[in-house]
Amino acid sequence: MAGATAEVLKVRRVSRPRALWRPLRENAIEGLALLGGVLLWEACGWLLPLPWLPPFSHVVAALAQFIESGVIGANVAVSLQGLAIGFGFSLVVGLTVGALMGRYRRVEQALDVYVYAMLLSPSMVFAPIFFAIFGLSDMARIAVIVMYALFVIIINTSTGVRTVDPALVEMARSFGAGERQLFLRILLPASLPLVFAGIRLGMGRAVKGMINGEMFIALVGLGALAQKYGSQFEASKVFAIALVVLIVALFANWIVQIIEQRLTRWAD
Amino acid sequence: MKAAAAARKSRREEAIAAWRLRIVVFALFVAVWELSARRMENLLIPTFTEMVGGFVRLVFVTGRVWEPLLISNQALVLGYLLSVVMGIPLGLAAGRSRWINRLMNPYIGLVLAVPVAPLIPILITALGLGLASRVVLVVLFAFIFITVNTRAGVRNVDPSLIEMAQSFGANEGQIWRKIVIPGAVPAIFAGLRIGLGRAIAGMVIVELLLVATGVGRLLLEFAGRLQADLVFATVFAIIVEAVVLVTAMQVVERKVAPWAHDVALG
Repeated sequence: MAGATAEVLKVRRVSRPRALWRPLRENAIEGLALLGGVLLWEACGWLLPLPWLPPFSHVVAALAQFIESGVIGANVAVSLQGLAIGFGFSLVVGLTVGALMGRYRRVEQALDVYVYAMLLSPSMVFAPIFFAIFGLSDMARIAVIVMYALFVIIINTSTGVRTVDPALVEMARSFGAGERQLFLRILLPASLPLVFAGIRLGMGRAVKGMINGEMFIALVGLGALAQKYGSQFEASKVFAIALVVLIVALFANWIVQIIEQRLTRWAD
Repeated sequence: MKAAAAARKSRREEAIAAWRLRIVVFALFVAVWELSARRMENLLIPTFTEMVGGFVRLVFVTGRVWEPLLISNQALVLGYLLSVVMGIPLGLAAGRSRWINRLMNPYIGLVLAVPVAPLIPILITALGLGLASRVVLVVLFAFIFITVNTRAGVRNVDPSLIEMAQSFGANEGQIWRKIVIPGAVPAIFAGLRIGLGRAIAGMVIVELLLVATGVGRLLLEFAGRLQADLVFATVFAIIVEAVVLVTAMQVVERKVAPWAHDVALG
Protein backbone atom coordinates (compact mmCIF):
# COMPACT_ATOMS: atom_id res chain seq x y z
CA MET A 1 0.00 0.00 0.00
CA ALA A 2 2.73 2.42 1.02
CA GLY A 3 4.71 1.38 -2.05
CA ALA A 4 1.78 2.18 -4.28
CA THR A 5 1.42 5.66 -2.85
CA ALA A 6 5.14 6.28 -3.31
CA GLU A 7 4.78 5.13 -6.90
CA VAL A 8 1.96 7.58 -7.50
CA LEU A 9 3.92 10.40 -5.93
CA LYS A 10 6.95 9.64 -8.08
CA VAL A 11 4.91 9.60 -11.27
CA ARG A 12 3.31 12.85 -10.35
CA ARG A 13 6.63 14.52 -9.65
CA VAL A 14 8.10 13.41 -12.94
CA SER A 15 5.15 14.60 -14.94
CA ARG A 16 4.94 18.00 -13.32
CA PRO A 17 6.90 19.99 -15.92
CA ARG A 18 4.81 18.45 -18.64
CA ALA A 19 1.66 19.24 -16.68
CA LEU A 20 2.76 22.86 -16.66
CA TRP A 21 3.18 22.88 -20.41
CA ARG A 22 0.03 20.98 -21.22
CA PRO A 23 -2.48 23.79 -20.64
CA LEU A 24 -0.31 26.06 -22.78
CA ARG A 25 -0.20 23.54 -25.58
CA GLU A 26 -3.86 22.61 -25.38
CA ASN A 27 -4.95 26.22 -25.37
CA ALA A 28 -2.55 27.28 -28.10
CA ILE A 29 -5.33 28.36 -30.46
CA GLU A 30 -7.11 30.36 -27.79
CA GLY A 31 -3.83 31.98 -26.83
CA LEU A 32 -3.03 32.81 -30.44
CA ALA A 33 -6.50 34.27 -30.90
CA LEU A 34 -5.97 36.57 -27.94
CA LEU A 35 -2.47 37.50 -29.06
CA GLY A 36 -3.81 38.25 -32.54
CA GLY A 37 -6.43 40.53 -31.02
CA VAL A 38 -3.83 42.41 -29.00
CA LEU A 39 -1.57 42.83 -32.05
CA LEU A 40 -4.51 44.02 -34.14
CA TRP A 41 -5.41 46.52 -31.42
CA GLU A 42 -1.81 47.76 -31.29
CA ALA A 43 -1.61 48.12 -35.07
CA CYS A 44 -4.97 49.91 -35.30
CA GLY A 45 -3.94 52.16 -32.44
CA TRP A 46 -0.84 53.28 -34.34
CA LEU A 47 -2.29 53.38 -37.85
CA LEU A 48 -5.72 54.90 -37.26
CA PRO A 49 -5.81 58.39 -35.78
CA LEU A 50 -8.74 57.57 -33.48
CA PRO A 51 -8.68 59.42 -30.16
CA TRP A 52 -10.64 56.62 -28.48
CA LEU A 53 -8.34 53.82 -29.59
CA PRO A 54 -4.86 54.26 -28.14
CA PRO A 55 -2.35 51.47 -28.88
CA PHE A 56 -2.48 48.65 -26.35
CA SER A 57 1.06 49.50 -25.24
CA HIS A 58 -0.16 52.93 -24.14
CA VAL A 59 -2.82 51.25 -22.03
CA VAL A 60 -0.18 49.06 -20.40
CA ALA A 61 2.01 52.12 -19.84
CA ALA A 62 -0.91 53.97 -18.22
CA LEU A 63 -1.54 50.94 -16.01
CA ALA A 64 2.13 50.80 -14.98
CA GLN A 65 2.06 54.48 -14.14
CA PHE A 66 -1.09 54.03 -12.07
CA ILE A 67 0.46 51.19 -10.12
CA GLU A 68 3.69 53.08 -9.57
CA SER A 69 1.96 56.21 -8.30
CA GLY A 70 -0.15 54.14 -5.91
CA VAL A 71 -3.42 55.60 -7.24
CA ILE A 72 -4.73 52.21 -8.21
CA GLY A 73 -3.69 50.50 -4.99
CA ALA A 74 -5.61 52.93 -2.79
CA ASN A 75 -8.74 52.84 -4.96
CA VAL A 76 -8.72 49.06 -5.34
CA ALA A 77 -8.57 48.78 -1.56
CA VAL A 78 -11.61 51.04 -1.14
CA SER A 79 -13.53 49.21 -3.86
CA LEU A 80 -12.71 45.78 -2.49
CA GLN A 81 -13.78 46.84 0.98
CA GLY A 82 -17.21 47.83 -0.32
CA LEU A 83 -17.38 44.64 -2.34
CA ALA A 84 -16.54 42.48 0.68
CA ILE A 85 -19.17 44.13 2.89
CA GLY A 86 -21.88 44.21 0.22
CA PHE A 87 -21.25 40.70 -0.98
CA GLY A 88 -20.89 39.33 2.56
CA PHE A 89 -24.24 40.80 3.50
CA SER A 90 -25.84 39.44 0.31
CA LEU A 91 -24.37 36.04 1.05
CA VAL A 92 -25.69 35.80 4.61
CA VAL A 93 -29.15 37.17 3.80
CA GLY A 94 -29.38 35.40 0.43
CA LEU A 95 -28.49 31.97 1.79
CA THR A 96 -30.82 32.34 4.77
CA VAL A 97 -33.82 33.63 2.84
CA GLY A 98 -33.16 31.24 -0.04
CA ALA A 99 -32.96 28.23 2.27
CA LEU A 100 -36.18 29.22 4.03
CA MET A 101 -37.94 29.73 0.70
CA GLY A 102 -36.72 26.38 -0.55
CA ARG A 103 -37.72 24.51 2.60
CA TYR A 104 -41.05 26.10 3.47
CA ARG A 105 -43.62 26.55 0.76
CA ARG A 106 -45.40 29.30 2.69
CA VAL A 107 -42.24 31.41 2.84
CA GLU A 108 -41.75 30.94 -0.86
CA GLN A 109 -45.31 31.94 -1.66
CA ALA A 110 -44.98 35.00 0.54
CA LEU A 111 -41.80 36.30 -1.10
CA ASP A 112 -41.57 34.89 -4.62
CA VAL A 113 -43.22 37.85 -6.37
CA TYR A 114 -40.78 40.34 -4.85
CA VAL A 115 -37.67 38.26 -5.44
CA TYR A 116 -38.71 37.60 -9.03
CA ALA A 117 -39.42 41.28 -9.72
CA MET A 118 -36.13 42.39 -8.17
CA LEU A 119 -34.21 39.77 -10.12
CA LEU A 120 -35.67 40.97 -13.41
CA SER A 121 -35.47 44.69 -12.87
CA PRO A 122 -32.29 46.61 -13.69
CA SER A 123 -30.57 46.95 -10.30
CA MET A 124 -29.05 50.27 -11.26
CA VAL A 125 -32.39 52.13 -11.05
CA PHE A 126 -32.05 51.95 -7.29
CA ALA A 127 -28.81 53.92 -7.31
CA PRO A 128 -30.54 57.34 -7.35
CA ILE A 129 -32.74 56.25 -4.43
CA PHE A 130 -29.79 55.04 -2.35
CA PHE A 131 -27.84 58.14 -3.28
CA ALA A 132 -30.72 60.33 -2.13
CA ILE A 133 -31.17 58.45 1.14
CA PHE A 134 -27.57 57.70 2.12
CA GLY A 135 -25.82 60.60 0.39
CA LEU A 136 -22.13 60.26 -0.24
CA SER A 137 -21.58 57.70 2.50
CA ASP A 138 -20.29 54.18 1.88
CA MET A 139 -23.78 52.85 2.55
CA ALA A 140 -24.97 54.03 -0.86
CA ARG A 141 -22.44 52.04 -2.88
CA ILE A 142 -22.74 49.01 -0.60
CA ALA A 143 -26.52 49.06 -1.01
CA VAL A 144 -26.11 49.07 -4.80
CA ILE A 145 -23.84 46.02 -4.56
CA VAL A 146 -26.45 44.23 -2.43
CA MET A 147 -29.18 44.99 -4.98
CA TYR A 148 -26.99 43.46 -7.68
CA ALA A 149 -25.90 40.33 -5.82
CA LEU A 150 -28.66 39.36 -3.40
CA PHE A 151 -31.53 38.08 -5.53
CA VAL A 152 -29.66 35.70 -7.77
CA ILE A 153 -28.26 34.04 -4.62
CA ILE A 154 -31.76 33.76 -3.12
CA ILE A 155 -33.23 32.23 -6.29
CA ASN A 156 -30.48 29.66 -6.74
CA THR A 157 -30.42 28.67 -3.08
CA SER A 158 -34.18 28.20 -2.91
CA THR A 159 -34.20 26.18 -6.14
CA GLY A 160 -31.31 24.08 -4.86
CA VAL A 161 -32.97 23.30 -1.54
CA ARG A 162 -36.39 22.69 -3.08
CA THR A 163 -35.07 20.25 -5.67
CA VAL A 164 -33.17 18.06 -3.21
CA ASP A 165 -34.27 14.46 -3.77
CA PRO A 166 -37.29 13.99 -1.46
CA ALA A 167 -36.23 10.37 -0.88
CA LEU A 168 -33.12 11.68 0.91
CA VAL A 169 -35.26 13.88 3.14
CA GLU A 170 -37.64 11.03 3.92
CA MET A 171 -34.81 8.68 4.76
CA ALA A 172 -33.24 11.20 7.11
CA ARG A 173 -36.61 11.72 8.76
CA SER A 174 -37.20 8.00 9.19
CA PHE A 175 -33.82 7.73 10.89
CA GLY A 176 -35.03 10.38 13.29
CA ALA A 177 -33.27 13.48 12.02
CA GLY A 178 -34.58 16.75 13.42
CA GLU A 179 -35.07 19.89 11.34
CA ARG A 180 -31.62 21.18 12.27
CA GLN A 181 -29.86 17.97 11.34
CA LEU A 182 -31.92 17.72 8.18
CA PHE A 183 -30.73 21.17 7.16
CA LEU A 184 -27.09 20.73 7.99
CA ARG A 185 -26.61 17.09 6.97
CA ILE A 186 -28.95 16.66 4.00
CA LEU A 187 -30.35 19.82 2.48
CA LEU A 188 -27.21 21.95 2.66
CA PRO A 189 -24.74 19.50 1.12
CA ALA A 190 -27.19 18.18 -1.48
CA SER A 191 -28.07 21.65 -2.71
CA LEU A 192 -24.47 22.89 -2.73
CA PRO A 193 -23.82 22.78 -6.50
CA LEU A 194 -26.81 25.00 -7.31
CA VAL A 195 -26.14 27.22 -4.32
CA PHE A 196 -22.61 27.78 -5.54
CA ALA A 197 -23.84 28.53 -9.03
CA GLY A 198 -25.85 31.30 -7.41
CA ILE A 199 -22.88 32.51 -5.38
CA ARG A 200 -20.70 32.62 -8.50
CA LEU A 201 -23.33 34.59 -10.43
CA GLY A 202 -23.84 36.80 -7.40
CA MET A 203 -20.14 37.56 -7.18
CA GLY A 204 -20.01 38.50 -10.86
CA ARG A 205 -22.97 40.79 -10.40
CA ALA A 206 -21.53 42.24 -7.19
CA VAL A 207 -18.40 43.36 -9.05
CA LYS A 208 -20.61 45.04 -11.66
CA GLY A 209 -22.66 46.68 -8.93
CA MET A 210 -19.44 47.86 -7.30
CA ILE A 211 -18.12 49.58 -10.40
CA ASN A 212 -21.49 50.96 -11.53
CA GLY A 213 -22.38 52.26 -8.09
CA GLU A 214 -19.00 53.92 -7.68
CA MET A 215 -19.29 55.48 -11.12
CA PHE A 216 -22.70 56.87 -10.19
CA ILE A 217 -21.63 58.27 -6.84
CA ALA A 218 -18.26 59.28 -8.29
CA LEU A 219 -16.50 59.88 -5.01
CA VAL A 220 -14.24 56.94 -4.17
CA GLY A 221 -13.00 53.69 -5.64
CA LEU A 222 -12.22 52.43 -9.11
CA GLY A 223 -15.56 53.64 -10.43
CA ALA A 224 -14.88 57.22 -9.38
CA LEU A 225 -11.48 56.99 -11.03
CA ALA A 226 -13.07 55.68 -14.22
CA GLN A 227 -15.63 58.49 -14.15
CA LYS A 228 -12.90 61.10 -13.60
CA TYR A 229 -10.69 60.02 -16.49
CA GLY A 230 -13.76 59.27 -18.58
CA SER A 231 -14.97 62.84 -18.32
CA GLN A 232 -11.49 64.00 -19.37
CA PHE A 233 -11.68 61.51 -22.26
CA GLU A 234 -8.29 60.01 -21.46
CA ALA A 235 -8.82 56.78 -23.35
CA SER A 236 -5.67 54.89 -22.34
CA LYS A 237 -6.32 55.56 -18.65
CA VAL A 238 -9.95 54.48 -18.99
CA PHE A 239 -8.86 51.24 -20.65
CA ALA A 240 -6.27 50.71 -17.92
CA ILE A 241 -8.94 51.05 -15.21
CA ALA A 242 -11.23 48.65 -17.07
CA LEU A 243 -8.32 46.22 -17.13
CA VAL A 244 -7.94 46.53 -13.37
CA VAL A 245 -11.66 45.94 -12.84
CA LEU A 246 -11.41 42.89 -15.08
CA ILE A 247 -8.58 41.56 -12.93
CA VAL A 248 -10.63 42.21 -9.77
CA ALA A 249 -13.56 40.32 -11.31
CA LEU A 250 -11.40 37.36 -12.29
CA PHE A 251 -9.76 37.33 -8.86
CA ALA A 252 -13.12 37.36 -7.06
CA ASN A 253 -14.38 34.58 -9.30
CA TRP A 254 -11.23 32.55 -8.62
CA ILE A 255 -11.73 32.80 -4.86
CA VAL A 256 -15.32 31.59 -5.15
CA GLN A 257 -14.16 28.70 -7.33
CA ILE A 258 -11.49 27.63 -4.84
CA ILE A 259 -13.99 27.59 -1.99
CA GLU A 260 -16.46 25.71 -4.16
CA GLN A 261 -13.88 23.04 -5.00
CA ARG A 262 -13.06 22.61 -1.33
CA LEU A 263 -16.67 22.22 -0.31
CA THR A 264 -17.95 20.07 -3.16
CA ARG A 265 -15.06 17.67 -3.33
CA TRP A 266 -17.40 14.89 -2.18
CA ALA A 267 -19.42 15.26 -5.37
CA ASP A 268 -16.86 13.73 -7.74
CA MET B 1 -62.59 9.50 -10.57
CA LYS B 2 -63.51 10.71 -7.12
CA ALA B 3 -59.89 10.82 -6.05
CA ALA B 4 -59.00 12.95 -9.07
CA ALA B 5 -61.78 15.40 -8.30
CA ALA B 6 -60.68 15.58 -4.70
CA ALA B 7 -57.09 16.18 -5.76
CA ARG B 8 -58.21 18.96 -8.08
CA LYS B 9 -60.27 20.52 -5.32
CA SER B 10 -57.40 20.44 -2.84
CA ARG B 11 -55.08 21.91 -5.42
CA ARG B 12 -57.52 24.76 -5.92
CA GLU B 13 -57.76 25.29 -2.19
CA GLU B 14 -53.99 25.33 -2.03
CA ALA B 15 -53.79 27.99 -4.75
CA ILE B 16 -56.37 30.11 -2.95
CA ALA B 17 -54.43 29.79 0.30
CA ALA B 18 -51.25 30.84 -1.50
CA TRP B 19 -52.89 33.97 -2.89
CA ARG B 20 -54.43 34.80 0.44
CA LEU B 21 -50.95 34.61 1.95
CA ARG B 22 -49.51 36.81 -0.80
CA ILE B 23 -52.18 39.45 -0.21
CA VAL B 24 -51.60 39.41 3.53
CA VAL B 25 -47.85 39.79 3.05
CA PHE B 26 -48.38 42.63 0.59
CA ALA B 27 -50.71 44.41 2.99
CA LEU B 28 -48.13 43.99 5.74
CA PHE B 29 -45.39 45.34 3.47
CA VAL B 30 -47.49 48.40 2.58
CA ALA B 31 -48.43 49.04 6.22
CA VAL B 32 -44.83 48.85 7.44
CA TRP B 33 -43.63 51.13 4.62
CA GLU B 34 -46.43 53.66 5.17
CA LEU B 35 -46.07 53.84 8.94
CA SER B 36 -42.27 53.93 9.05
CA ALA B 37 -42.10 56.56 6.30
CA ARG B 38 -44.62 58.69 8.18
CA ARG B 39 -42.73 58.38 11.44
CA MET B 40 -39.37 59.20 9.85
CA GLU B 41 -40.75 62.27 8.07
CA ASN B 42 -37.73 62.12 5.81
CA LEU B 43 -37.97 64.30 2.73
CA LEU B 44 -36.17 61.61 0.75
CA ILE B 45 -38.39 58.66 1.65
CA PRO B 46 -41.97 58.91 0.42
CA THR B 47 -44.80 57.03 2.04
CA PHE B 48 -46.41 54.28 0.01
CA THR B 49 -49.48 56.40 -0.74
CA GLU B 50 -47.28 59.27 -1.92
CA MET B 51 -45.47 56.93 -4.27
CA VAL B 52 -48.71 55.55 -5.67
CA GLY B 53 -49.98 59.11 -6.09
CA GLY B 54 -46.79 60.05 -7.92
CA PHE B 55 -47.09 56.99 -10.15
CA VAL B 56 -50.70 57.80 -11.05
CA ARG B 57 -49.74 61.39 -11.86
CA LEU B 58 -46.72 60.41 -13.96
CA VAL B 59 -48.48 57.72 -15.90
CA PHE B 60 -52.09 58.85 -16.20
CA VAL B 61 -52.52 62.51 -15.25
CA THR B 62 -49.53 64.43 -16.58
CA GLY B 63 -48.15 61.50 -18.56
CA ARG B 64 -44.63 62.80 -17.98
CA VAL B 65 -43.11 59.34 -17.97
CA TRP B 66 -44.13 58.42 -21.52
CA GLU B 67 -41.85 60.61 -23.60
CA PRO B 68 -38.67 59.68 -21.68
CA LEU B 69 -39.72 56.02 -21.81
CA LEU B 70 -40.13 56.31 -25.57
CA ILE B 71 -36.66 57.84 -25.92
CA SER B 72 -35.08 55.15 -23.77
CA ASN B 73 -36.87 52.37 -25.54
CA GLN B 74 -35.63 53.45 -28.96
CA ALA B 75 -32.14 52.44 -27.86
CA LEU B 76 -33.52 49.28 -26.27
CA VAL B 77 -35.40 48.11 -29.36
CA LEU B 78 -32.62 48.88 -31.84
CA GLY B 79 -29.90 47.51 -29.58
CA TYR B 80 -31.82 44.37 -28.76
CA LEU B 81 -32.62 43.64 -32.40
CA LEU B 82 -28.96 44.11 -33.29
CA SER B 83 -27.98 41.80 -30.45
CA VAL B 84 -30.29 39.11 -31.74
CA VAL B 85 -29.06 39.48 -35.30
CA MET B 86 -25.44 39.29 -34.11
CA GLY B 87 -25.75 36.93 -31.20
CA ILE B 88 -27.60 34.00 -32.76
CA PRO B 89 -25.36 33.51 -35.85
CA LEU B 90 -22.22 33.84 -33.71
CA GLY B 91 -23.57 31.25 -31.29
CA LEU B 92 -24.60 28.91 -34.09
CA ALA B 93 -21.15 29.13 -35.67
CA ALA B 94 -19.36 28.57 -32.38
CA GLY B 95 -21.63 25.67 -31.49
CA ARG B 96 -21.20 23.83 -34.78
CA SER B 97 -17.53 24.41 -35.56
CA ARG B 98 -14.89 23.43 -33.06
CA TRP B 99 -12.34 25.78 -34.65
CA ILE B 100 -14.54 28.84 -34.63
CA ASN B 101 -15.43 28.04 -31.06
CA ARG B 102 -11.79 27.82 -30.00
CA LEU B 103 -11.00 31.10 -31.73
CA MET B 104 -13.98 32.82 -30.14
CA ASN B 105 -13.72 31.27 -26.70
CA PRO B 106 -11.25 33.69 -25.12
CA TYR B 107 -13.21 36.63 -26.47
CA ILE B 108 -16.50 35.27 -25.18
CA GLY B 109 -14.91 34.89 -21.77
CA LEU B 110 -13.51 38.39 -22.02
CA VAL B 111 -16.80 40.01 -23.02
CA LEU B 112 -18.60 38.13 -20.24
CA ALA B 113 -16.09 39.29 -17.63
CA VAL B 114 -15.24 42.78 -18.82
CA PRO B 115 -17.05 45.57 -17.00
CA VAL B 116 -18.92 47.57 -19.63
CA ALA B 117 -19.76 50.69 -17.63
CA PRO B 118 -16.22 52.15 -17.36
CA LEU B 119 -15.90 51.88 -21.14
CA ILE B 120 -18.90 54.14 -21.79
CA PRO B 121 -16.68 57.27 -22.13
CA ILE B 122 -14.71 55.48 -24.85
CA LEU B 123 -17.95 54.76 -26.64
CA ILE B 124 -19.01 58.38 -26.37
CA THR B 125 -15.68 59.61 -27.74
CA ALA B 126 -16.15 57.27 -30.66
CA LEU B 127 -19.85 57.75 -31.39
CA GLY B 128 -20.93 60.92 -29.64
CA LEU B 129 -23.72 61.48 -27.14
CA GLY B 130 -26.52 60.42 -29.47
CA LEU B 131 -28.60 57.36 -30.05
CA ALA B 132 -25.74 55.36 -31.61
CA SER B 133 -23.77 55.18 -28.36
CA ARG B 134 -26.77 53.97 -26.42
CA VAL B 135 -27.61 51.37 -29.02
CA VAL B 136 -24.05 50.00 -29.05
CA LEU B 137 -24.05 49.89 -25.26
CA VAL B 138 -27.26 47.87 -25.20
CA VAL B 139 -25.64 45.49 -27.70
CA LEU B 140 -22.54 45.16 -25.53
CA PHE B 141 -24.75 44.25 -22.58
CA ALA B 142 -27.05 41.82 -24.33
CA PHE B 143 -25.56 39.98 -27.29
CA ILE B 144 -23.07 37.82 -25.40
CA PHE B 145 -25.79 36.07 -23.41
CA ILE B 146 -27.66 35.27 -26.61
CA THR B 147 -24.44 33.94 -28.16
CA VAL B 148 -23.49 31.80 -25.18
CA ASN B 149 -26.95 30.26 -24.87
CA THR B 150 -27.23 29.59 -28.59
CA ARG B 151 -23.84 27.89 -28.53
CA ALA B 152 -24.86 25.76 -25.57
CA GLY B 153 -28.09 24.82 -27.35
CA VAL B 154 -26.30 23.73 -30.51
CA ARG B 155 -23.78 21.76 -28.50
CA ASN B 156 -26.55 19.96 -26.65
CA VAL B 157 -28.00 18.61 -29.88
CA ASP B 158 -27.46 14.85 -29.82
CA PRO B 159 -24.52 14.18 -32.20
CA SER B 160 -25.92 10.76 -33.08
CA LEU B 161 -28.92 12.51 -34.69
CA ILE B 162 -26.55 14.46 -36.92
CA GLU B 163 -24.59 11.34 -37.75
CA MET B 164 -27.73 9.49 -38.66
CA ALA B 165 -28.90 12.32 -40.92
CA GLN B 166 -25.50 12.37 -42.58
CA SER B 167 -25.55 8.63 -43.16
CA PHE B 168 -28.93 9.08 -44.84
CA GLY B 169 -27.32 11.59 -47.17
CA ALA B 170 -28.44 14.90 -45.64
CA ASN B 171 -26.33 17.87 -46.65
CA GLU B 172 -25.12 20.59 -44.27
CA GLY B 173 -28.07 22.86 -45.05
CA GLN B 174 -30.58 20.15 -44.27
CA ILE B 175 -28.78 19.24 -41.06
CA TRP B 176 -29.02 22.87 -39.98
CA ARG B 177 -32.68 23.26 -40.84
CA LYS B 178 -33.96 19.91 -39.66
CA ILE B 179 -31.79 19.06 -36.69
CA VAL B 180 -29.45 21.70 -35.30
CA ILE B 181 -31.72 24.75 -35.21
CA PRO B 182 -34.87 22.98 -33.93
CA GLY B 183 -32.77 21.28 -31.26
CA ALA B 184 -31.24 24.55 -30.16
CA VAL B 185 -34.48 26.55 -30.05
CA PRO B 186 -35.19 26.17 -26.31
CA ALA B 187 -31.72 27.35 -25.34
CA ILE B 188 -31.87 30.17 -27.89
CA PHE B 189 -35.10 31.41 -26.34
CA ALA B 190 -33.61 31.24 -22.86
CA GLY B 191 -30.75 33.36 -24.22
CA LEU B 192 -33.19 35.82 -25.77
CA ARG B 193 -34.93 36.22 -22.42
CA ILE B 194 -31.73 36.70 -20.43
CA GLY B 195 -30.40 39.03 -23.12
CA LEU B 196 -33.56 41.12 -22.91
CA GLY B 197 -33.08 41.60 -19.18
CA ARG B 198 -29.47 42.62 -19.73
CA ALA B 199 -30.49 45.00 -22.53
CA ILE B 200 -32.88 46.80 -20.20
CA ALA B 201 -30.12 47.03 -17.60
CA GLY B 202 -27.77 48.52 -20.20
CA MET B 203 -30.38 51.04 -21.28
CA VAL B 204 -30.80 52.30 -17.71
CA ILE B 205 -27.11 52.28 -16.83
CA VAL B 206 -25.94 54.39 -19.76
CA GLU B 207 -28.62 57.00 -19.08
CA LEU B 208 -27.79 57.19 -15.40
CA LEU B 209 -24.02 57.31 -15.79
CA LEU B 210 -23.22 59.39 -18.83
CA VAL B 211 -25.82 60.15 -21.47
CA ALA B 212 -28.48 61.96 -19.47
CA THR B 213 -31.63 61.32 -21.48
CA GLY B 214 -34.79 59.24 -21.33
CA VAL B 215 -35.93 57.72 -18.05
CA GLY B 216 -32.43 58.03 -16.59
CA ARG B 217 -32.55 61.78 -16.96
CA LEU B 218 -36.07 61.88 -15.56
CA LEU B 219 -34.84 60.00 -12.47
CA LEU B 220 -31.88 62.34 -12.00
CA GLU B 221 -34.12 65.40 -12.44
CA PHE B 222 -36.60 64.26 -9.80
CA ALA B 223 -33.79 63.24 -7.46
CA GLY B 224 -32.12 66.62 -7.91
CA ARG B 225 -35.36 68.41 -7.02
CA LEU B 226 -35.88 66.12 -4.01
CA GLN B 227 -39.22 64.91 -5.38
CA ALA B 228 -38.89 61.56 -3.68
CA ASP B 229 -42.41 60.40 -4.56
CA LEU B 230 -41.68 60.89 -8.26
CA VAL B 231 -38.25 59.21 -7.99
CA PHE B 232 -39.83 56.11 -6.47
CA ALA B 233 -42.70 56.24 -8.96
CA THR B 234 -40.29 56.36 -11.91
CA VAL B 235 -38.27 53.48 -10.50
CA PHE B 236 -41.50 51.55 -10.10
CA ALA B 237 -42.46 52.30 -13.72
CA ILE B 238 -39.11 50.99 -14.95
CA ILE B 239 -39.48 47.84 -12.85
CA VAL B 240 -42.96 47.32 -14.29
CA GLU B 241 -41.60 47.63 -17.82
CA ALA B 242 -38.77 45.16 -17.13
CA VAL B 243 -41.03 42.60 -15.46
CA VAL B 244 -43.71 42.86 -18.15
CA LEU B 245 -41.24 42.52 -21.04
CA VAL B 246 -39.26 39.62 -19.59
CA THR B 247 -42.40 37.80 -18.43
CA ALA B 248 -43.92 38.19 -21.89
CA MET B 249 -40.74 36.73 -23.32
CA GLN B 250 -41.05 33.83 -20.91
CA VAL B 251 -44.63 33.19 -22.01
CA VAL B 252 -43.53 33.10 -25.66
CA GLU B 253 -40.67 30.81 -24.67
CA ARG B 254 -43.02 28.34 -22.99
CA LYS B 255 -45.33 28.40 -26.02
CA VAL B 256 -42.53 27.80 -28.49
CA ALA B 257 -40.52 25.34 -26.45
CA PRO B 258 -42.49 23.98 -23.50
CA TRP B 259 -39.74 21.50 -22.69
CA ALA B 260 -37.20 24.28 -22.36
CA HIS B 261 -35.00 24.92 -19.40
CA ASP B 262 -32.14 27.31 -18.80
CA VAL B 263 -28.80 26.18 -20.11
CA ALA B 264 -26.68 29.07 -19.02
CA LEU B 265 -27.68 31.85 -16.70
CA GLY B 266 -26.86 35.53 -16.77
